[in-house]
Amino acid sequence: MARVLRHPLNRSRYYSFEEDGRVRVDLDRTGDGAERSGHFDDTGRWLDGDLKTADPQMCRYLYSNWRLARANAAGREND
Amino acid sequence: MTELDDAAAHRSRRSRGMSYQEVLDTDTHEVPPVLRLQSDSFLGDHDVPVDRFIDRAYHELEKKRLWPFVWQMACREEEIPNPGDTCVYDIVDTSILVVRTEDGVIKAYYNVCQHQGRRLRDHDGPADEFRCPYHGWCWHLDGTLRRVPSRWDYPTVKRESFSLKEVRAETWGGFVFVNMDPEAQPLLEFLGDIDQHFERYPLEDRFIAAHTVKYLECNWKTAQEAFMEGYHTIATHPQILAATGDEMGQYDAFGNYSRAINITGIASPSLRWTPTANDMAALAFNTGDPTDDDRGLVPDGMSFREWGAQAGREQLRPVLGDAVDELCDSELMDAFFFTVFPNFHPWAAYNQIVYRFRPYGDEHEKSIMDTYILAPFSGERPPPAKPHILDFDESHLDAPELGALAEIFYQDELNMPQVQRGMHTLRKVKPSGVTYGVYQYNKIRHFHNLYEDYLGVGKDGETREEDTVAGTGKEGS
Ligand code: FES
Ligand SMILES: [Fe+2]
Repeated sequence: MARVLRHPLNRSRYYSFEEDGRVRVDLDRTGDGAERSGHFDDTGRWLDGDLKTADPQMCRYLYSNWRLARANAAGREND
Repeated sequence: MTELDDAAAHRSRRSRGMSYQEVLDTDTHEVPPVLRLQSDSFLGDHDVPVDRFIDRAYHELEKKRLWPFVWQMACREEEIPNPGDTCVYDIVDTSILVVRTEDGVIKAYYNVCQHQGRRLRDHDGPADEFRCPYHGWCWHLDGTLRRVPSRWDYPTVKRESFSLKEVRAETWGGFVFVNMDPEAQPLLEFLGDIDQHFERYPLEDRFIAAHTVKYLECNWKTAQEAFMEGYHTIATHPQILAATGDEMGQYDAFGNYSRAINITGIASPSLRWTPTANDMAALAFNTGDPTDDDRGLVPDGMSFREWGAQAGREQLRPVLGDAVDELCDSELMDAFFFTVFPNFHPWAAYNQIVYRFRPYGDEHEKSIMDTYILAPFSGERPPPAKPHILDFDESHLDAPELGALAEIFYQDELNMPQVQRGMHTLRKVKPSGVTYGVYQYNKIRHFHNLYEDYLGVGKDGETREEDTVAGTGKEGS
């Protein structure tokens, strides 16, 4: 299941990861057409998208979720 | 007016959240008295100069006045269970060899050949004698000289005066500590009344389930301070704030050790929303979106702490038996992290974590962080996990054996080298140094107070420290 986490201090921001490990941040998914999103690396550096800022440590956490999920999947394949 | 301008906002000197003692009042089980203990809480409000983190002179001073005089955890007893088992412990420029001798006693020696000075053993493992790989001089496990090739060529060598040089070795909690100072007070005396915090969960009854050794690009004190307060949770580990009373923890200092208690299962006072018990359960079990209330993990009317503690008891029951019913909610939910001066950090209750920090060789801006996961067991003692070295360019994410802890450490790793770099700039722009919290940095302030005593330096970086450090430099030449 793809994890989606709302930032506990800034609840309008939704953090998730893409299959390639980039962290995706969506602003207010409730959606009135004004939604914005961006991609960030595991240090919170902006990669692309119209949302330009994110919490570096939330990015880091989501990235680590992705890394461990990938490692687990690889482990299962090797079994 | 903002909180920053309002002097009254910090008059109480404690968080606006519940105190740990108030949280204990809600416990469903009897709380052991040691958790009711609180030390004097004021250890100063002064800034601490950064020289001690970035200056070579301080590293040299530590080599003279700190490391040769303190008790240092060298290994676990379980790593040297049989006669002849050895462990090599290196601290800065000194190597120490810990061995279980033939009669089962643990001894330690300077790990150096008395002939031409080769490091006697390169690694841990079993030995039936200590034979130097260079020319073959050889010692018994009890440290007495056994053989010298071309004995005729060494008329000055006497068995009595060519024993390996001994280092003090004593044990606590299943750990072997060494001390290079023959005059040092005994380990148990140095530890004082620490046993009261561990008697309900003796660390000798654990085994090393995992052991990582991470090399870090920062001073050893920079590194360990990242693990001595819960204050950094708000920025460094934001994902756990819904179930962490981050600034509500309790910090105490006793003699040569200190204790932090951080609260789990109560939301941070910084949130502007109220997480439900199920939000917290979702977080604790990593099931995903903590806003999804529909899973219904926690029965109606039950607090997350009560539910989580019971889950913890059931998890431990196969190992500990019905003794788990004696453990209170706090012991199963909260984080109890101790620091024994200067660099040993055992956690109490069943968090199972132990840290050790030290310089990386003789380099003062690099360090080694050991993390042990000490798990309880029933029946026969399982073999200890071997150390897993994580190089500078690796991260704790490369150690999946740490489980969710790897993700937490990965966040801490983002800060540590940046603090080290930043301190060089800080020295130029803010000579008074770092501004620690008055309460939440109690463990760190306690460390620095003792550190200053050992090094013989003052708190005032501008005057006394400069004199002392410079003076010591001369002393060494
Ligand atoms: S906020 Fe603590 S170092 Fe910057
Ligand atoms: Fe941390």
